[in-house]
Amino acid sequence: MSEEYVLEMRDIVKRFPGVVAVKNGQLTLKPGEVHCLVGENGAGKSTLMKILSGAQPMDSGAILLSGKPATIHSPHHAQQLGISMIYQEFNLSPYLSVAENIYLGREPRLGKSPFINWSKMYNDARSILNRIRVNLDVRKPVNECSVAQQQMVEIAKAISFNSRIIVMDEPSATLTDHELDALFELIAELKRQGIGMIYISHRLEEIFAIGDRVTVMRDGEYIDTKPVSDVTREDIIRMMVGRALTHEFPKEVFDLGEERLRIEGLSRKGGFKDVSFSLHRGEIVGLTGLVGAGRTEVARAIFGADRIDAGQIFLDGKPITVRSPQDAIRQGIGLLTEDRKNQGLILGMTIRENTTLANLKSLVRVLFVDRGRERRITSDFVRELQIKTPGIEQTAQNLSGGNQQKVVLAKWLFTESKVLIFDEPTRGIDVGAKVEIYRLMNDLVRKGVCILMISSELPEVLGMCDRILVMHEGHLAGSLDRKDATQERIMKLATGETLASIA
Amino acid sequence: MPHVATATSGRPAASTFLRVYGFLLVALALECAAFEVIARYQGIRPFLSVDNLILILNQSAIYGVVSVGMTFVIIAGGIDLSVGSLIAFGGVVGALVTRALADAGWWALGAGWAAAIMAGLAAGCFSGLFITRFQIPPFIATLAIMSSVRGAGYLIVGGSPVSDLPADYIFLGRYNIAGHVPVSVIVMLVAFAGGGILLNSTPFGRHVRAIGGGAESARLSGVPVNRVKWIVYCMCSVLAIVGGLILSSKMRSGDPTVGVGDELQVIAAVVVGGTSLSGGRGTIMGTFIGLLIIAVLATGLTWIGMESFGQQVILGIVILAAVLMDRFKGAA
Ligand SMILES: Nc1ncnc2c1ncn2[C@@H]1O[C@H](COP(=O)(O)OP(=O)(O)OP(=O)(O)O)[C@@H](O)[C@H]1O
Ligand SMILES: [Mg+2]
Repeated sequence: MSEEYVLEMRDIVKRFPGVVAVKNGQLTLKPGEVHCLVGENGAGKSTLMKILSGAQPMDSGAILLSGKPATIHSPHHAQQLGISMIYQEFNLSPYLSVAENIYLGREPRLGKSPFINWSKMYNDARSILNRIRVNLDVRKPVNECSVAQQQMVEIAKAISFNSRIIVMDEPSATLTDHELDALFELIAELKRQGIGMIYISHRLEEIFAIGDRVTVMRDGEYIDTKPVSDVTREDIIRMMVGRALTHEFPKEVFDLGEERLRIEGLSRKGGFKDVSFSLHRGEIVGLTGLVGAGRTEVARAIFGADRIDAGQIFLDGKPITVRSPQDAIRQGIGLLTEDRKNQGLILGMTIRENTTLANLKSLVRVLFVDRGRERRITSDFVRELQIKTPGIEQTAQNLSGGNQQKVVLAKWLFTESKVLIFDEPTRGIDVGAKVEIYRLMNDLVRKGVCILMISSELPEVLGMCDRILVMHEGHLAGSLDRKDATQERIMKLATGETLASIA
Repeated sequence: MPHVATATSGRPAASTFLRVYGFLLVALALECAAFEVIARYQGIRPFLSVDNLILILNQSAIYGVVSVGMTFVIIAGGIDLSVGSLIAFGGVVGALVTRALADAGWWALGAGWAAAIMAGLAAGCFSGLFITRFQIPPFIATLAIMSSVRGAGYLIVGGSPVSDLPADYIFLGRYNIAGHVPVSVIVMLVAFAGGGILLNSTPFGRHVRAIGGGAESARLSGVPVNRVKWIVYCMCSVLAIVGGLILSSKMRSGDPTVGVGDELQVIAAVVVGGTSLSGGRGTIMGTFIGLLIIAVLATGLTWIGMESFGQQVILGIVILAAVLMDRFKGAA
């Protein structure tokens, strides 16, 4: 009976100092199946997969490959056993070509010589890309490829190892809708070729798009495995968080106050041109558009992270100049960046140190940081945001992806800014915690903070924003009020059509 | 809910201290014990004594002062190769100015120190300028400064050391307070204490570690990255100058040839003390213990009669062992 599975993981246990990351991990995988793995932030999904791919040793449990017990010593060993993992951060060498990356460390040689057989390497790489129907120049350096293309290269690399099992940990988080479609087509192709895939995502709609079965984990425990056709979105959420979620978007509408932030004619060469808008007290404004439309660039410019070529920023009616992020923070503007690893967190520092970094001066007594107050404040945030950690002295590196995101959020909440720009604030955050973050946004708005939320997830934009600005190729294509906004209208604006043609 | 954090209250206790420094302290203790045993076995004078302790501290004072600055530089993700040259330069400038004003007594000494420190600040500013404004890698920027400062030292004295210095000049290097405690040791201890407080308890210290741990994240959190780097290099250069003043005072001359290769000795102390060369992680206390481990080694090996070539071999082994053990500790 167990021969029908390419993979069985049984009773897996993994402890870290102060945490049992996986208490009772169970997972089976059939050939040609897409098995979705879901659960709250810190539920142990990534850890279970790191055990499978040999990146972490397990404390106890059993792994069976095609019915035979296996011990996986290292990522390299896992690859030899036919298991490949696609991490969110790719392990590609940026200046090498696509083909060189696929065959890194096992380049075909000219006979027995030490020299690389380039033509064979390029041909082999091309045939692998053909096999998964990806159209990409194999000589192109990886750093010139888009994120989606890099992901394709990772998958091609996995195929080249003749992998029977491919694990994808939140592969969709950094993709545009269009790229996501391409990924799904690729997954379908791999299915046809009999490859089993484990797919982790916090976007539950994806499960219904591609999943065959779904396994839910909670607090390191295995909850259940179900065929996707037998469950609803609500069922999955209930299994994940242990209760039903009443409102996914707990939007509260407040009275519009006076203007807080106004942007006039903001331009930056190669990024965006002549962008003007204003934000008022009491509102959450969404900034959306296709990836690459210039949303993040606008945010960075307002925050002083990039120079602007023209334009003026007004805060509370007064013109301000923002020369650096430091300047922006001092004047009350904060930016939660989309890339938490390189731009949001100091991974080697603790939760406490990360939380207070942007507003350390408020903790200074005489010349010194008031550690006691710092600890109290951090503990409050950990409780309020339900950050799963054994303590506030845990280094950020050791947190699960979603919990890292919550620490970044805590950092900006602690700055007590007047204007907060959130760039993809709920990326990698589980459905339950998302609701908590939306509630926090409501609280902030009630206190007079105004929020500019950049997001690619239209349901979230539609659900939480009072007004939606849509960008298209560096221009502000239009603005929609909450009551007039629909997915279709946003998409039309985002792809360059005018409002008149919709109305 | 077992995962959710409870507020951890209270100061980091003695147990934290032991967890962080225990390994280094054990290494130091073992080292002292080994020399003591060998000394007894050989029938020479015992190694462990108050006099010897003061001797070791005295001999490590110069590297000690400089290593405080180097720790900051390395934690901030940089490196400073110019400190060896600055040690020589500080002595030369201090000696020249003191001699020129010799009639002014103590004032001359003060003026010499002040002039040397100003020169150090200038050098630090140059390093900072190239590293922040022009984005030159610290290794290269400070390599250039190292060369220029070394040359400048020779140029201003015209080749031969500055001698004929007033008797007061030995104050920093050879004077003992209360008959026993060398001034140089006090200067070093003050540097360590000040450095430790600066790194652990002030926003500046937090910023230094944040920059080393991730400069872009730090910048986007409002950390004044360039200013902090600038200050760090100035601090390191000034401390190197102070080290140079102590050395020149010990020798009662301003010699432009001294200090060659000292940057590596200083970096060794920092690294043995557990500071990561890739930045973001390290402690002043660790550097102090690392310094002692190396100083005890040098003194002990001499004590038991090993000649200097053998000492160098063993120093190399100790550096490797220390870094390996640290890695091991990190993995466990
Ligand atoms: N190296 C580590 N050291 C200490 N604790 C760790 C380490 N790696 C993971 N953990 C802890 O194990 C738990 C499970 O983490 P894991 O990354 O598997 O969660 P996850 O389900 O992938 O969550 P997310 O959806 O947020 O990515 C978390 O509480 C995390 O803090
Ligand atoms: Mg994860």
